[in-house]
Amino acid sequence: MKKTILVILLVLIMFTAACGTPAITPDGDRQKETDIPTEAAPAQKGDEKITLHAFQYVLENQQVDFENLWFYKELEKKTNIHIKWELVKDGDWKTRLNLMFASGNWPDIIIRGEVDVEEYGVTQKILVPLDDYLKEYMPNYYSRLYLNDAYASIPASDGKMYYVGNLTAQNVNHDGNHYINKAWLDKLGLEIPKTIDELTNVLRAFRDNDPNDNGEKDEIPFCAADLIHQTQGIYTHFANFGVPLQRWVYACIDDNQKVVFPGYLPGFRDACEWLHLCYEEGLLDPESITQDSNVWGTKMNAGRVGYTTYLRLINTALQPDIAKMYTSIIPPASEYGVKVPRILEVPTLGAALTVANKHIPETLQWLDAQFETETMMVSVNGPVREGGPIEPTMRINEAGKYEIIYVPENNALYQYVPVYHGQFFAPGDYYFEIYEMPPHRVERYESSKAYEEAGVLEKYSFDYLYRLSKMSNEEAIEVSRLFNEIEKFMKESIANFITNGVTDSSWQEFISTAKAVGVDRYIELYQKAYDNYLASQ
Amino acid sequence: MRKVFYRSILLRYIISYAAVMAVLFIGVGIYVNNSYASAIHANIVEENTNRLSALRIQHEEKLSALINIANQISLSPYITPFKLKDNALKAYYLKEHLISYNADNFFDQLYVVFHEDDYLYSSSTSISMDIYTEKLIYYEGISSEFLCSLLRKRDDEVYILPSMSVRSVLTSDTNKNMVTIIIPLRLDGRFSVGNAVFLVHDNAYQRMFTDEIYQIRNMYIFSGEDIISAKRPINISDEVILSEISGMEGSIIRNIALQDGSKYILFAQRGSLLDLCYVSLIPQETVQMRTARSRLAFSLFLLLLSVPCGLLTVYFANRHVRPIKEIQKSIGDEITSEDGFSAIKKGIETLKGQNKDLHTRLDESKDVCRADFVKKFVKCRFSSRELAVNIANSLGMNIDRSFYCITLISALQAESKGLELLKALFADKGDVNAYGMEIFDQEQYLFVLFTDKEEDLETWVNNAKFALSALDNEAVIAVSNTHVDFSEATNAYLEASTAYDNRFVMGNEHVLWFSDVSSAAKDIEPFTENYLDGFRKALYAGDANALHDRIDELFQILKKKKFSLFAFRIIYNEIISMLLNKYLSYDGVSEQSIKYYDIFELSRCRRVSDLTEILRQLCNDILLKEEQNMPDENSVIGQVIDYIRENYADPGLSMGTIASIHGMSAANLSLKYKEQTGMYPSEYLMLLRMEKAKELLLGTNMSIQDIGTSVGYYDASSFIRRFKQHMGITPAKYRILVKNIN
Repeated sequence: MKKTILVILLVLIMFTAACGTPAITPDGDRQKETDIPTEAAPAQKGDEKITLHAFQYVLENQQVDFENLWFYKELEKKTNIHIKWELVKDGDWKTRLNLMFASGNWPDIIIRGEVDVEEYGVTQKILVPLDDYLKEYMPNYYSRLYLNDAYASIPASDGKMYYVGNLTAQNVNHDGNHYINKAWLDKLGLEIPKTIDELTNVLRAFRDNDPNDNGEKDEIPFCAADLIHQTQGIYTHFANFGVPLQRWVYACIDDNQKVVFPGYLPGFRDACEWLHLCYEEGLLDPESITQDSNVWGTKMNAGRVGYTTYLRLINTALQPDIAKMYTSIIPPASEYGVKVPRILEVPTLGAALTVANKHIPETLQWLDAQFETETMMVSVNGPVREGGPIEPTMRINEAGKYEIIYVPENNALYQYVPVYHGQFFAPGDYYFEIYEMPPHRVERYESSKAYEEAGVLEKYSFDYLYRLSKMSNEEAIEVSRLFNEIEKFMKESIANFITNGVTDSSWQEFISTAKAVGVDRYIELYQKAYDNYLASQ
Repeated sequence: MRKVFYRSILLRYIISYAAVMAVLFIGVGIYVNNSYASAIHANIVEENTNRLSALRIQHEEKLSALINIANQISLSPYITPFKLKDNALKAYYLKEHLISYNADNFFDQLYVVFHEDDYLYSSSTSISMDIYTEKLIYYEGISSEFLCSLLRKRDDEVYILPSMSVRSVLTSDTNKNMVTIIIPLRLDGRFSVGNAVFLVHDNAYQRMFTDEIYQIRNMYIFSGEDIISAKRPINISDEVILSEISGMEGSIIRNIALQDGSKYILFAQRGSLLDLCYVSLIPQETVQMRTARSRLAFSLFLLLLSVPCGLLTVYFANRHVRPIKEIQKSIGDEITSEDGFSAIKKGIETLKGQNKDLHTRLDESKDVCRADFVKKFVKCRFSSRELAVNIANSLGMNIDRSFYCITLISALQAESKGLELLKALFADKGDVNAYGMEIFDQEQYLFVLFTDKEEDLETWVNNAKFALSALDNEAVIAVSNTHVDFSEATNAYLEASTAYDNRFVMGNEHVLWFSDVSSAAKDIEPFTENYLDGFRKALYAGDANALHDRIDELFQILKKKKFSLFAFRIIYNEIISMLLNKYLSYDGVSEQSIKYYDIFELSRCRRVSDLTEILRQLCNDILLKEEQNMPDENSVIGQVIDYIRENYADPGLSMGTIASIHGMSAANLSLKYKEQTGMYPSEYLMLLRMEKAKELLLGTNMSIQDIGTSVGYYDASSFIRRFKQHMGITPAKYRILVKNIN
């Protein structure tokens, strides 16, 4: 009997051996280490290649082939982490982001762009709180996090950090710098306009006098891209009327530290009326409320635009010969004075991890590898050493600082390094110590400094409300819902005012609708949060 | 080889099993092989047809979704055609409205174009047609004018621009292939007012073409003669495919053979939407490879299966052969001499013969058992009548009758098997059951006759006498009295024996009836009672002197009284019975050991001195048993042996001398010696002398006379006689014979 069982077992074993196939050992795909433009390699390279799904924010006017970007290829060799990119353009970001969260098909990591950490971190708990990991897995980032109190705005209402910050400090900053076509002014013998009226006249002159000298009436005296764009949208022109309107929060802090609704500010109606005047008179590009920055950029580079707002001139989407035509001006002032939204140098979202991520330590190490000083500088400015995809764009000068040698034209840097799309964390003290400011940084700094000196920057910043004031979770959710309502209302109202003008009745309707959509409650919640913030300082 | 095959049963079994399995394997192999090729071909065809159907359904679902989006846009309140320059706010609302379609992941970009306007609208921007076609998007191989005309087309048909490289800052990825699908927008579902333009990443198509399980397969989606998108791992000209599907309806599955010899299977299905044609192509090699793989796998499977089957074959063959080998061993045949089955057959035939012999012997032994029963019956060895009857029944004897008697018949001299003859002679003698035995020493036959009527006994005896007389004129037949009680069998025997012994007086012409000679027994009883009482007392008192005095007394009485032979034997029997009962009460004493006192010996006891000697020996035995709890006497026997060894050459050595030296009687010494060594000292002495004589006969040249003298014989003749008795030949012949052998 025993022998029978033995024979049956033997048969079974042979069957099992016959049916099983030899396990295929996953090939580690170990790539030969190539020259990596970094000094140190803090990230530990794992034995097996890990693939992460990244939900990546992409600037509207940039074309980036992330998969083949030299920088990320080198980073992959170093960390053995491969990224599967899902690219989302700026214009689609909010919709696609919310749809992504709602779908339940979450990526491993969200890179750049704005994310409502209160909603998706504190409330829905889709984002991973990183506090317990940072010291261990992100030594580079952690070493800078507390410099200049850079971390202060990161913790959410529950005190946890749901994202890795992105910060480029220059100690004074603003978006939406005003530029006028100096070449055209010179051609027409005009002065730089200082008031709205002078500006209006200059625009009319641009419209009527063929300043581009091509015999066609193709000049666009005044051009903006989209309503709300932070650097070249219509919103930036409310600054001329003492309304520091921006897209992030429909509230601003007046000089008395009162939180106010921009629509209630005295210059708001006049701003709308002036914009309508420009629209009516053909001064303002009628596409300004619909076109994106690409279309705007096309018009700019065609040399058709007289007056606009933008981030800066050097190292942008503008062709150098076009950029040279423009000069930065203090926003022409209305009777309400000028108030350009001030940007506080607080971190934006660099990266956030979702709970779908099964490789949190490895992901954070991959991020931290990008915070290593030279890697980080390369990611924004291009290679510093020979052997890269292009000639080194930077060098290390006598003072031991990274210094820009040249900036490739037409935003060519985006073909090799992520620039804006990557990880960067440089609080002021750290940044000035390692970096010799390049022309485009100098330009930005100079114009912000000029605005500051001219007193056209708002005294306080909306960032106090947007980034530093913390609400309770319930209030944060309420504010988030109110924001959606108010944003829709404001965009529609402004578009309507621009195209159809402002009448008393339409103005009254605006005021009453503002109340109806909960502007007062919105302001109240921010006031409370700001008061708490002030009290905590 | 042939011999080995025929002789090894194991090999025959293994080869038989293997042959059966080989037939099975080959049969299954041929069947599976034949059915595999067609099954695999059918399977691949079904698989590819399903795959192509899945692609068609998936793509049509996606197209339907796009058409639905176009329809929804058509039905929305923002669709009323406008010109941006006239009404920028409408453009704003349209743009905001288009955001809601971003949720669809299939397409990358969606633009709305109105026939009467110069702009395109998407969820993120408005673009003038010239900027769009000239500055912001570049279709490889398509001019901006042609692109513009496509975007503005008014034929109210869905148009699909095949996948081609598109470079644009507007798309989420650049320099990638895009499929452009242009769907008309109809106001109220009727009037064409513009187009919805969808830019779909070719990746989305490639995903549809991709299988979870990789298989080399080209896949195409045709729109007319244009390939909207395709996946082409197999290098084959698109024209070949186009020529195959041109004019097809429904679906086709077709084998294609190219001039270079390569062969393919083409699957094509006509879609229900937009008259698209879905095609897939696989190399014939796939079928062949898979068939070959399957065959190989099945062959390996059979091969693997054959290993356990082989093991099982050996196991079962061995299991079947083992008992055969055991049978061979048990019948004691030579296993290797011939093949196992023949050996078994021969063995079984031998066993059958042996079995027959055994039965014959068993039948014969039944007579022996019956004779033994008769002997025990006569000796009264059964404790009860019931036991005797039961044992007799088991031997096929019927003794449960009212009367019985014992008859002694003289042996038939001429016949060696006289008893069988007599049994046959008396077999059918009416109501009398006669069971007999032969008393060899007395040359007599003893029959016990059982019957329910006394008169039948007489008839039987007379018939017997008549029959015997016919055989032998000198035949004697003596009969005891008729008895009822089985415990009187011994007396019955003595009665018959006494009657038999009276043949010299009464002659043998007639039956010798004990009743005719029993008058002398009348004077026995008074003596017996008195004497036996005294004897019994002395015995149970264990008083040796008193016992011997009683024996002396008996000797004297018997001499004086002149009892008849029968009386003498009755007395003798009484005393012996009493002594036996006493003797048998000792442990370790069996009836075998008292054979010496056999009742049948008694008939030879004809003198008073014989009786007294037997009595003395028996009493000594009893007294010896009484003394066995006393100090061990082995050492005494050892001394006797030593003494015999030292003095065997002395012709005067006698048992009496030895006994007196060791302080015991000769009879006592003999008994103790026999008890310890299994033989009498006289036997041992003779044995010792014969062994020494043989040594001298072979080892020396001494004369026979000298040898006889040296081993304790007075003269050569005594020695020669003894030697001949012991060895069967004379010493001189022995010496010659053994020396010749050596």
